[in-house]
Amino acid sequence: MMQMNVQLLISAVILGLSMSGVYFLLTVGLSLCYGLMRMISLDQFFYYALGAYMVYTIRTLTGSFWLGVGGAILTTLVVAFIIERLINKRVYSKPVMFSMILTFGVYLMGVGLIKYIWGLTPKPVASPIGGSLNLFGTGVPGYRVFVILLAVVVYFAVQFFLNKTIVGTAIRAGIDDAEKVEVLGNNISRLFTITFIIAAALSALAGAIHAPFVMVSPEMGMSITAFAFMVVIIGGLGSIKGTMVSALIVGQVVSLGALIWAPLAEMAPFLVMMIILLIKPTGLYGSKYAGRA
Amino acid sequence: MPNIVEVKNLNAAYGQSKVLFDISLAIKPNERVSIVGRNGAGKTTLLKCMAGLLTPTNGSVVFNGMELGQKPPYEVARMGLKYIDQDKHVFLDLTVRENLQLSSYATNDYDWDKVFAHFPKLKILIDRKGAYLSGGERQMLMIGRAILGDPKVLLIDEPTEGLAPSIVDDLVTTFHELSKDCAILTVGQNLSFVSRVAERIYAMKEGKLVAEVTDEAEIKANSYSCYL
Repeated sequence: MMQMNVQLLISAVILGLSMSGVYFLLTVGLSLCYGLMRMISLDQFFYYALGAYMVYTIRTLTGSFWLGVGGAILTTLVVAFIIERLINKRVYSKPVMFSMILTFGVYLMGVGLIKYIWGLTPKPVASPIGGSLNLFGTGVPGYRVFVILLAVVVYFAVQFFLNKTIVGTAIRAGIDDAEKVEVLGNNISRLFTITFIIAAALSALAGAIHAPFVMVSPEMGMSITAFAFMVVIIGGLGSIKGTMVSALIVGQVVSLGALIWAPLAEMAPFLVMMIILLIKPTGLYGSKYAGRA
Repeated sequence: MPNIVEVKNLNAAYGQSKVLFDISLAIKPNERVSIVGRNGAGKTTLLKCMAGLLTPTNGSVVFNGMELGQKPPYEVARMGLKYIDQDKHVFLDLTVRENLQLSSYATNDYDWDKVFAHFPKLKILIDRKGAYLSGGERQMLMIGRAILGDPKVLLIDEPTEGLAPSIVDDLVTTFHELSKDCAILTVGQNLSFVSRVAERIYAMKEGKLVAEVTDEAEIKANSYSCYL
C-alpha cells in the first residue's frame, strides 16, 4: 500500500513537472511581451494551437514528429512576423486594454482559420518517444521526461539570450524603460518585432510538444488560458525566473491537487495565486516598475 | 559659421493643451546654450520635440542642415542629436558595462576610452548594476552613454537636479570639455550652474521664448533670474 502511494506520488510529480514545462514555454513569451511592449498578447494562444496543428500535419505527411516541431516553429515565426508588422505594432503606444482586445481578435481569427483548414474534429498526435524510465520503482513515460528537460534547456537558453547577447540586453533594458533604449539610438520597433516572434515561436513549441498529451483541437488555446495567466501573474509580469518558478508551482499544485481530490486540480491554483498576490501583489519576482503604463 | 540646430516656429501640444508657442532658436557648433524658466514653462517639451520623442503640431527642427520631420528618436540619436532626460534614469538591472554596450551597439562606436577620460570613475564601477549607482554616478553614466557615437549636439534636461554641489562643480568642468567636441543645450533652474556653463541663455515663460541673453557680464550677473 505504502509503495503504491509512493509510486502515485512520483507519477504525479513527473506529470506536474511536464505540465510545468508546457506552461513555462507558453508563458515566457507572454511575460516578455508584457515586460517589453506592455502588451497582453492573447494571440499567443493561437500560435500555441497553430504549433500543435503543424506538428499533426507534418507528422501525418512525413511521419516525423521532430520535423513537425521544426515546421511548427518556422511557420509560426512567419505568421507572427506578418501579424506583428501589420496589426500588433499599431497598439504598442496605446493603453494595455487596446492590445488585449486587438490580440483577442487576432486569436479568434486564428481559431477560425484553423477550423476552416483542419475542421472541428480533434486530431491525435502520437508520442514520438515510447517506453518509460524506471524512477524508484515507478515507470515514468520517456516523453514526459523529455518535455521536462526541454523546458529546462529553453529556460537556460532564454537566460543566456537575455543576459549574454546584446539584443537580450536591449530587451532587458527595454523592460525597464523602452523610451530610454530608443534615445540611445536603438531601433525599438525592431526590438519589439524580435521579441514578439521569439514569444510566438516559444508558444508554438509549447503547442507542438503538448500535442501528444492532448487531442489537438481549435479551442485548445482557450482551455489553457487560465493556467497560463496564473503562471504569469504568480511569477510576476516580465520576469523569466518568476515564470519558471511559477510554472513549477502551478504544475505541481494541479497535479498533486488532482491526486488528493480531483476538483482541487482546478481550484487549488487559483487559491495559491490569491494567497501569493495577497502577500506580494507584484507576483513572486515581479518588479514594481512593471506596472507602469 | 552655420547653425548646427535651428528650431523654427515650433508649436507643440499634449492633446488639446497647447504647450509651446512659435519657438524659434538656433545653436552653433560647440556652443553651450541654456534655457531657463519656471516649472511648466515648456523646457522639457521643447527638448523632447527636438529629440523626436514628441511630434510638434507645426514648425520644424533642422539639424545639421536636414529637417528632422517625423524621424523616430533612434534615427535622431544616430544622426548625432542625443537627449539626456532629467530623471537620472539608467537601466537598473544592467551593469555600467551593459549600459555602455547598448549605446555602442546603437552607434557602432566602441571607443570607451573617451567616456573614461571624462568619467574615470565609471571604469571602476564597470560591473556595478545601475540600481546601485548614486545620483552623480548615474548622471556620469547617462552622459557617458550619450557621447558614444560622437554626437554633434547634447540636449540635457535638468543636469544638476538632485546632485551634490561638489558633483555640480565637476559637471561644469565636464561640460566645458565636452563642448570642444559638440554643442550642449541644457535646460534648468540652477542659476549658479547656468551662469558658469552657458555662453548664451534663452528664457522661457508659459511656452514662449521671452528673452535671449548673450552678454557674458549679464550671464555672470544672473540678470535673467527674473524669469524664474
